[in-house]
Amino acid sequence: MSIEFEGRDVAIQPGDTLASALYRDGVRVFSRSFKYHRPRGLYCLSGDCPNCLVTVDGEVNVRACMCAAKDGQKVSRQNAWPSVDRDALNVIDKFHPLMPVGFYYKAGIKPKFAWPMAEGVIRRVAGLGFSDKNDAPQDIDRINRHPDVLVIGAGVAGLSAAIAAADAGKRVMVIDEGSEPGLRVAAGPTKDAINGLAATAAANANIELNPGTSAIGIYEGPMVLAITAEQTLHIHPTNIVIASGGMEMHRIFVSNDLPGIFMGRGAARLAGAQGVKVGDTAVVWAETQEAVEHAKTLAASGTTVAAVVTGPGVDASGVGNRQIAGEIVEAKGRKKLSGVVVKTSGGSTEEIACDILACGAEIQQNMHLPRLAYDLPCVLAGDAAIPGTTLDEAAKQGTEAGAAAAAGLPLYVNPPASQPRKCGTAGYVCLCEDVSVKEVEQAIDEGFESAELLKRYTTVTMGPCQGRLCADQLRAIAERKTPAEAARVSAPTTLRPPVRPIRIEQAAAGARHHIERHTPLHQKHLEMGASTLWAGPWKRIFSYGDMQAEYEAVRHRVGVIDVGTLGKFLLAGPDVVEFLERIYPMRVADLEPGKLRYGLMLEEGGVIIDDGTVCALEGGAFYCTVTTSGAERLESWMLDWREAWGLDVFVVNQTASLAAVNVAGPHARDLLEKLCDDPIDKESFPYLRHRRITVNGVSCLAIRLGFVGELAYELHFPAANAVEMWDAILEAGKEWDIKPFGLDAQRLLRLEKGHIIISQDTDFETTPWKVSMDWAVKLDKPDFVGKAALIRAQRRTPRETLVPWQMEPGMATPAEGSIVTVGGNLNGRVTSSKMSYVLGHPVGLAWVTTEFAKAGGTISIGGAPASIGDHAFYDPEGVKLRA
Amino acid sequence: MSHFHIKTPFGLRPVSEFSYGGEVRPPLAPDAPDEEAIDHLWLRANIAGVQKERWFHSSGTRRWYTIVRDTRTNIVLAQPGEEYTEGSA
Ligand code: FES
Repeated sequence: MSIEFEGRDVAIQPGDTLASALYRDGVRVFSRSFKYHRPRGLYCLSGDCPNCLVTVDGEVNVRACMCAAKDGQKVSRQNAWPSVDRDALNVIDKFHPLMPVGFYYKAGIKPKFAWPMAEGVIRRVAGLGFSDKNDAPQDIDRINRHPDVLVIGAGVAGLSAAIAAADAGKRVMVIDEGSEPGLRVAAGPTKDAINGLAATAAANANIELNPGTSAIGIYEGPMVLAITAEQTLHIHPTNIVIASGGMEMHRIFVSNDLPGIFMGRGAARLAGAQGVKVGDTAVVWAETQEAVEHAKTLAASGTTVAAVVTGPGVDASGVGNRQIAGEIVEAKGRKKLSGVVVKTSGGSTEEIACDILACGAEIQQNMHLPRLAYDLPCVLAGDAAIPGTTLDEAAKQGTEAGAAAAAGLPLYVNPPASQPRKCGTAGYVCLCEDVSVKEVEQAIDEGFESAELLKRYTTVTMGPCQGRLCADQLRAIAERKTPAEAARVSAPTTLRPPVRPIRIEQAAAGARHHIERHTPLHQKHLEMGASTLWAGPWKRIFSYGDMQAEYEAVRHRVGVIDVGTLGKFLLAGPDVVEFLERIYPMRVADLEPGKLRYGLMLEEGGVIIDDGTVCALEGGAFYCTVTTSGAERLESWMLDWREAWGLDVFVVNQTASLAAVNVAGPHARDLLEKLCDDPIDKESFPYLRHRRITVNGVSCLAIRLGFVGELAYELHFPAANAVEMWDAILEAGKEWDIKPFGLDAQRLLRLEKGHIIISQDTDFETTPWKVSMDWAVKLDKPDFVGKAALIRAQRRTPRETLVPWQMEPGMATPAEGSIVTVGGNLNGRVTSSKMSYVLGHPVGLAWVTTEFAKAGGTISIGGAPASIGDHAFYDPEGVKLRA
Repeated sequence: MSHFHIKTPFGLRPVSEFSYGGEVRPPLAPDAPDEEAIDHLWLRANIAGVQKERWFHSSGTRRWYTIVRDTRTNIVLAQPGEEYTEGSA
């Protein structure tokens, strides 16, 4: 098994991460730093530093130490030219003085013309990796989970907590970043303890272990956002135990960024957990007793431990060739570590040759998650709670935390008492952005004192590590410089999710969980070769392939369209008339059973939001239709008003339970008479009436409407009968060469009649006045939604008016959205435009400044003259639809 | 990414199932003076604090619910049907 690394094969072993495999193969420089292109090697091995970002199979900025090695992966380093090993851009390192702190703010401000040039160069050499623009985003699922207790971190404390909570009868979910619990822990008592607890947890039916799952944010609720390779999880626990552990502090000394310098746990991970010989000669800096174990782990893997440099109270007797009480003050070497300078507690300095330095610094808690959880039901456990916790203490804390979480105790995370911070006087504070102690001090001298300002000015904490290494050090330097104002300057900077880098597609998880609604006839349409388009949540039929043929059928013979997507509502109840009188701006109370009326729907501002029909049924109920895209919204809208007015009315949404088709064309009646015995002639069933008739053996509510401008019957009937009905209509229509028609044809048919489509021809400020629909508004009604705004809008002439227009035959059809001009001045825009087959010239609708919106007037559309019509160009008297 | 739960006849449901319906506001009297009408139509209080508001359970019971929520913390201070008195919760 192997990976392909920059053109050569590198063998991998079971349990390898990319970092361990590459390191074993001899790779020492993993990246070049962001600003000065200094060589950088593995450092933390826990995903907390910027040093091991590589490109894997085209994905940039993957942390090599967190990515399990898989056979065949293509891995390359980034951010260097011509290569990471020989980076020509490293010359920038020689020009430190030219790139002072606050460089971005200072450079190029004077002279002004220089900045665009400088920006071009910076853009080329800066940045981390090149993303593949052709990369097809992966669909990530979003999953909701609802455990009783969520435990973050499967270490000793976390697993103990999970077991305690599960024993108390709770359903527990444990998540951990590693592909298995304790993955990164070297063999030893801790590893044994984790293995034992993991086995116990795995055997407990109440515990679900989720390895390979990173918590990236905690939100109110509480809700924890977590990611795996394939999913984004929204976890909604009742209580959370955060056992995300701690990490060693980043230690600052001269050249503290050289390859060969590791965090203590990092070196131990590489040597102990992944069986890599880290180096020939190591110096271990042991500020904690735990770090003495790291020295042993290194020695066991074949690295000579030349010296253990111990901090106060640490006992390293018998470990390593020498034990020196003191601290590291400088690292030697140019491209990699060659030695360290130790300042002994006696005050003398001494240089020790080595190629590895493991900095087992004081443990600081991982506060990223706890700080996001502030004020939420959350418990901390393990060495997150007390730095340097022993195994037994971690287990005890975990058990207590788990029991507390199970009991639902209102324990909240308290920010830990701040400890005195220790910080070196020279070296890199920030590995991500190459910021030195000197530069931070200089920024403070320039007046940037508070942590928030320092952060923005120096960019410390703003790089890929997001402050994991540097935030505390930044505050320490600020405190040291201005001790009198320590409290003010060292307030922690605001922390925001994600606490781990995530891919955009993970953030967008679930964005493509579309609801796609089909009418019961959808499959029928597809079989007939129909093309579809989105209309709200619906997939509607655009055309069956020949729009003109569909159109001609309706105008001259007969056609049928599936209008099952219309919003369909049955309204009933003692207050239904009162309710509809207030919902619609027109009159409803005088509508007799069997009659219907066109109705606008307005929002409170008087703007048209929908239109449809209202049918008065026998027995006092009403049947209302609204547009396809409006159904969802208008249901909640009507229910909202019902409660606001306290009216007793039922609103039954029949959109899905009823199918609807519209049979239209001069032969529509002839066709239906073949399928129906009820009288549907002009006298017994005139225009703007509805009847219950039986068609093809199915009881339908038939409505006579004229949207397309021909004799038409709209049939509403149970969805279960849709397919039979459709087939029967097509069969019966054969003698007139019936055609099913789609939206494309329907849009032309209605345009010839000057009928508007809400939201295509109207916008967010269209009142009925603007579309000349005064007839659809009865301002003398006591009240209706939108009245208050309309009576005020009525006081002035609307700025623009929607008008129908037509052009001379032979003129090109202007595009929808074209500009309207009058006398060379901009005067409006076209909302609908099509070539009319029956009239032989383009027709459409346009917004025109009211002053010029007079029937018979001339406007110019894209330079071509067009004349404004009255309302309908086709059958203006409406003889055909009343037939 | 706000997250909280709203009580329905079918238990506490996550807010992701609901759509926001805005602040609860007194209805506009038909004869209200212009000032008042304009305020009502075009302005919202947009409170940073305790707010009474409406939610429609669009992916569930398809009913409206009125809750009291602190917009700064997203803590629900009164679920539907509960009385909210200042300082409670
Ligand atoms: S070594 Fe991989 S993130 Fe630090």
